[in-house]
Amino acid sequence: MGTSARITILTGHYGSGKTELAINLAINARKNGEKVAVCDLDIVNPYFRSRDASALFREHSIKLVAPPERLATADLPIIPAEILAVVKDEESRVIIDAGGDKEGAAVLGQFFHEWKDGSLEVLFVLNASRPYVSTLDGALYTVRQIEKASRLTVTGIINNTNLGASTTIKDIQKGQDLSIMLSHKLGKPVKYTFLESSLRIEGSNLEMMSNKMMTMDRYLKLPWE
Amino acid sequence: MKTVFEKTSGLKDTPTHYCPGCTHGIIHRLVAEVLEEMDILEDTVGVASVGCSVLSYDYFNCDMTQAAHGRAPAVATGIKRVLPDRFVFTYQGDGDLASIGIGEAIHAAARGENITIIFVNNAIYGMTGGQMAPTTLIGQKTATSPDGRNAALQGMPIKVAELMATLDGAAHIERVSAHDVPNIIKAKKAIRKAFETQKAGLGFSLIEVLSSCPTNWGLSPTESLEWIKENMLPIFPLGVYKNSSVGGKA
Amino acid sequence: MGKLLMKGNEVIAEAAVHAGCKYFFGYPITPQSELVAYMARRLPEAGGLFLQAESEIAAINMVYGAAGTGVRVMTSSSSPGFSLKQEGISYLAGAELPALIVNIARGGPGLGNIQPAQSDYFQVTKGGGHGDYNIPVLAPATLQEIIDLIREAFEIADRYRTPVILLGDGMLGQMMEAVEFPEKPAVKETHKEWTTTGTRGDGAPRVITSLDLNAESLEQRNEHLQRKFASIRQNEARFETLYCEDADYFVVAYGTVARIAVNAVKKARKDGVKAGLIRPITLWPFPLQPFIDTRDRAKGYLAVEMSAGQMVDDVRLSVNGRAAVSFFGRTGGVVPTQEEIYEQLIITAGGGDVNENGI
Ligand SMILES: Cc1ncc(C[n+]2csc(CCOP(=O)(O)OP(=O)(O)O)c2C)c(N)n1
Ligand code: SF4
Repeated sequence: MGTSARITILTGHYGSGKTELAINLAINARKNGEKVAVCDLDIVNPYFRSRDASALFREHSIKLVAPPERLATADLPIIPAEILAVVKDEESRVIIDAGGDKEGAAVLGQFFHEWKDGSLEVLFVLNASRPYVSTLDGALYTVRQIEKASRLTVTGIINNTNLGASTTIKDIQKGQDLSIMLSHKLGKPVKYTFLESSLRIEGSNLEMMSNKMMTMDRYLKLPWE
Repeated sequence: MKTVFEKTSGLKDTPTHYCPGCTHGIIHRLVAEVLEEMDILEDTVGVASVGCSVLSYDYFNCDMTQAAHGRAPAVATGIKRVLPDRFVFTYQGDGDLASIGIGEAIHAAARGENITIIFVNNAIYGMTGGQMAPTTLIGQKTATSPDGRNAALQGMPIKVAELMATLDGAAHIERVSAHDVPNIIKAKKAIRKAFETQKAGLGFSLIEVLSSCPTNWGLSPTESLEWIKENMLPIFPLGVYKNSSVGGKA
Repeated sequence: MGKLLMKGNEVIAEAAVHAGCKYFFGYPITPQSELVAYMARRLPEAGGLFLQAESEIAAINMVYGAAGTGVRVMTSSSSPGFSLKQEGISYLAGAELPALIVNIARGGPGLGNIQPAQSDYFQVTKGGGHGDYNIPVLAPATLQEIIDLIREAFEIADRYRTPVILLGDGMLGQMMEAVEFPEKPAVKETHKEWTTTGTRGDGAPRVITSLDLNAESLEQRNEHLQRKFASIRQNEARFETLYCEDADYFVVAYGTVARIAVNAVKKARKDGVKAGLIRPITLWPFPLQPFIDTRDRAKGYLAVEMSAGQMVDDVRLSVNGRAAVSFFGRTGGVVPTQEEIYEQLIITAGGGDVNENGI
């Protein structure tokens, strides 16, 4: 991944695609031979959370820190105590999947004293095709709300703009433009632009758009997909 | 008593169905007169509840909506939130408001809904045949407390005015009685005050009116009025429990 | 506006705003809470009002009050909360008040769980509350379809003076898809002459009620309601079919399950089984037409549901004994897979040992 931070916190607005990113980042890190743990702190979403990929994590020997399987599908806002041990383990890459918006980010606030400067990156995942974050004002407002609730400062942006199966090059470009504007406002870099690997997007050289283009696989699928 | 029998445009000509000596009729008239005197009949939507007053929509000469048992404050909330410049009131008995609908009543008050509740406390379920109400007095015999209400078994009566007055959203809460002429005059003043409170946009108002039920109490109309005085007044003291600052004239 | 990636629950809320709904009274419950949260943010922007009620019972009664003033109003919940709304729904039906009620159903009975289910079918289509009444029930399968159906729901509600239910399952509420809100003319505020808004020089006072103490006159009222329901049955049944022209075997499924079933039907056709799909879009009125069109030549029907077998009763009534009807269902929040449905379809086509719940 080429990141120096040991701990990556994925924040973002509701439905920005944090969970899929967490899975992808974790699998990539494993491929580089790193010891990896994913912490599912999503107390907002009732479905489609990291814990729903638990078999996948087992298969890739990625540690999943999530509520016990028995309670995995409960709508109880459980924070697994194990997260503290994982965060302190200097050997381990840690990817934290927080819930969306300030409601989801508030969970992070309780760990205020656990984070160590320098080893932490806080990424704001942006899908500019979502309501309320398709404008600079909306995106900026969401970042500020998340920062306040989580007691953290966003250190970078991930452009994950997509419309699911109907994504076009224009959507990604729109997300890219917005990410850059947001980046100027925040004074923080756009770290990556993600593109779903199964999408066949025609008519453009995506590399031209961004030299930080990464592809990702989608793991959490609907039963008819 | 002369004023009581004068015709008011606040009531339709339909004769009421209440039992002889039942003070529901008087309370209707007081509300109707206030609406007429404030000249707000055309701006008012009333909500009838379930109890002996279920047909009050046939009597009040303004737009009326019938609510499910206990839900009148929620229905009134829905109306008032859409039509904030209209007057909205509910007319509810003690089973309706203090038993099945206590949640709706408390939350409407807590939200400070700018509505007026006329709460008729006759210490019994009238419509269904004289069963125990949350306001039934200790020792009072009803169809479902044949040996008299027993605190150990059935708990103590609920004092609605006192309870509602604890809520910050409540602007005007008062308990009055319909058992004699001086009290009826005071009751009308209180009802006027409640609607004035609503007019001034101050929030929730509730007037608890002690009322008779000769039929289920098994007493003559006169005895019933005496019974209110003797038995209900000591448990349900009259007075203003929360005072909105509006000046009401009646 | 362009395309947006949205959650089902958000789409329902936004579609309602587009359809001119300005008032929402609700109470949180998973898996529909995003709908409530979205409305809390969105309605004030749209010049409307959102109010969190103290319970589902209060919410539906606030809807009743608001509906009586003639505005477009809605509430939403999920199964356990929907049960609490039944009282109010019966009153809405009795007093003939238009409103939209959304149920994003979850596993039951009781507290059940928060996973998707279709086990509230009986409750929404067969009355649910007390008294002789039916309510139009719309069951979208895609997020884009939600947008069309919400608009239609409000139109049906106003046209017939009836509450309308939109039924989805937790999956529909939680999944994300790209949607586009078509530019449609703003909804005209139609004058409703029956509302209670204060007479204001507008004739004699009006009353909204479901009470009628006289037996004959309540019967007349019921007959009026039944005539209305008959007209809804006649005019409002909606469905979609796939490969039905030449099919021998028909899968019947609604909502998200229909989307899973499509793949099973396609695979069966590839394997030489002439399969088709009937997807009811209205669950009440249950669409009779596709069964009339197929039942005399059908070799079999397979109803697939996320329930222990509810819609299958309506399929049987519609097929009326002219062909075998079998059933496959998963419950408790388990979603049937394409493979399972395919397998059941092959069993049905083989005429062999169908699922024990079948005929
Ligand atoms: C849900 C429901 N439960 C019970 C009833 C039956 N019921 C009708 S009126 C009533 C009590 C009314 O008593 P109260 O509110 O004291 O009014 P009153 O008749 O004394 O004026 C009851 C229990 C009902 N209509 N609805
Ligand atoms: S039963 Fe009681 S409350 Fe009801 S009308 Fe008769 S006297 Fe009044």
